[in-house]
Amino acid sequence: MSFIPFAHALAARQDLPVPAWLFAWAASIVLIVSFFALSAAWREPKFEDEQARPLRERLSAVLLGLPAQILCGAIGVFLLGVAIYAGLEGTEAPDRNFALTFLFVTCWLGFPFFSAIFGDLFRPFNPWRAIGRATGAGFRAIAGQRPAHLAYPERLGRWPAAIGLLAVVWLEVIYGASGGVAVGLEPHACAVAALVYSAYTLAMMAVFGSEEWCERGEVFSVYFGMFGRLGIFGSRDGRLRRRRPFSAATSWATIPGSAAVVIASIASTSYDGASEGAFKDGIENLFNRLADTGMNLTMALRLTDTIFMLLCFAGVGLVYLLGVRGMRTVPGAPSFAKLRVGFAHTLIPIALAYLVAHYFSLFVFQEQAQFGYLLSDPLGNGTTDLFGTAGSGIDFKVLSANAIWYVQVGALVVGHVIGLMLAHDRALVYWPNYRRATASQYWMLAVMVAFTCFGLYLLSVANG
Amino acid sequence: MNTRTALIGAALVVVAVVLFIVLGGGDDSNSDSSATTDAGKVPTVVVNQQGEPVGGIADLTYKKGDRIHFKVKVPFEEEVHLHGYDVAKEIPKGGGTVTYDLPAEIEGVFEAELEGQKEQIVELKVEP
Repeated sequence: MSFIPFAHALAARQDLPVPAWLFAWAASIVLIVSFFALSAAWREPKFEDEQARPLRERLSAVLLGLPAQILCGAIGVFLLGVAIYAGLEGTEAPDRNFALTFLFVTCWLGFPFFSAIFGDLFRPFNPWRAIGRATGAGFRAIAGQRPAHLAYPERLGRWPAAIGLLAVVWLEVIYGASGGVAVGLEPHACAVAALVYSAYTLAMMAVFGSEEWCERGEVFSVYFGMFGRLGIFGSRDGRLRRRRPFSAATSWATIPGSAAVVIASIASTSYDGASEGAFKDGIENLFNRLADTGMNLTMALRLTDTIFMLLCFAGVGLVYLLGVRGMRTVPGAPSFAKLRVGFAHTLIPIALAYLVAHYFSLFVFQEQAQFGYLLSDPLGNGTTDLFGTAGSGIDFKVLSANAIWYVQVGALVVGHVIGLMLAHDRALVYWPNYRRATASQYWMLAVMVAFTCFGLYLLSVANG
Repeated sequence: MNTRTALIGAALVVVAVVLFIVLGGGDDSNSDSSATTDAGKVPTVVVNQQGEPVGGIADLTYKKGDRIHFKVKVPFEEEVHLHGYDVAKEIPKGGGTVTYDLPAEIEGVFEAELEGQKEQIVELKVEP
């Protein structure tokens, strides 16, 4: 039985494990940088205020105006429609079908990468939000009143998005890889899942309202929006604003369940990376034990993988909560619940770093396919050549192994530093006394070092 | 900087140095391939009637600039596909052996599989 994760199905090339010498350098740098961050950090909070400056009114009017909203929403709906159609009617070869690359690479990786720089880019293109808003506008025009919605249960918070995030990754890397076949998730199954998710999302929007559901329950809005909080652009009161980088993240986790979202992000990326290396033997052992009980092989593999993914979620959550528990011991500490919510945003850079480290090369290689043969022949059956690029391929020489290693390690180190910065900044809010704030950060430093070194370790044993 | 911070910093630096010495001093080369790549001896991957590689998936490791050189012996009609390098070779009806002999130009981890069986038979590493 071979264990072939999702990425194998799309990309014909996997990354080499980071060499030991680079792992050692990076781990050493992480520890030394952490020490200097603690000893030389600032004494007043810097990121609590976004210091957002409005951009020119005309620019805001063009980019945020109704025509732009309609255009972006229509593009989102059209592309989702193309992906679903390609999945249902196109080839079952995952690397030749528009659906998988578009949904799981271009969108799933592209929106986090670019939103982390420019702000939430998904919101204007969100196809479900566009449909929900258009439907609401139609209802108002016909009925002459706003559609009535139920009040969203406050305690539910972002938990639906956290669970949905795990479900999306489960579909991608567990359901798709089950059975040990190299095809991975089939485009038809992907399209059906997109249809089911669309129906579920539109129903939730009808019940709770489009904006409310996008803010709390819609998986992709919450997930991409989380990374968008690191970016430099945002809008408020109808004006586009440029803000201090990372500052909008400080207010992101106030909704219950937000910590679970960022933990799910780190855990799911960890699982995907570890299943190819660090967890490989463990997964095979548990699978063999389950298979020996007479369980159906596909069921045994899915159950094994699911257990390991949930263990990752529990493990990442436990490390974070231990750090929070440690901070609680520092005199003058706020409540455990306040600390747990208050520091959750400091994990967003770590989550982004994990994404970049694990999927950067996949994104670069697969986007050549996206804007090459997949754009010209979305169904992948050779019937169309819309832009004359249907015969193009992927040039794997555009990135050397060394370049990929440096990006991977660099991403983890930079994510570590930004996470430390945000944690130190928040500590200064909770402990105005600088010494106590610093003392509280020994715990968060331990958490960050643990996540960063674990990320480096995963890279060093991946595909090994 | 207070004494406590200095002590913790010193401890971190010591750990960093130990990490560097322990992890950085080792030999990077992975030589645990199940099929050898010695000059003069061409590794052969033998596939059984069930379409599985005998002895498990063969690990082949090369340095960039070397020649990738291995054979695949299959007892039935099939297509062997080396992904990434995108080289497919046909096994005729009744079975046969195909030979891969090409320059290792692309770094990374690649798989060769039996297209019909969807079975991976080789994991090929090309290191810088």
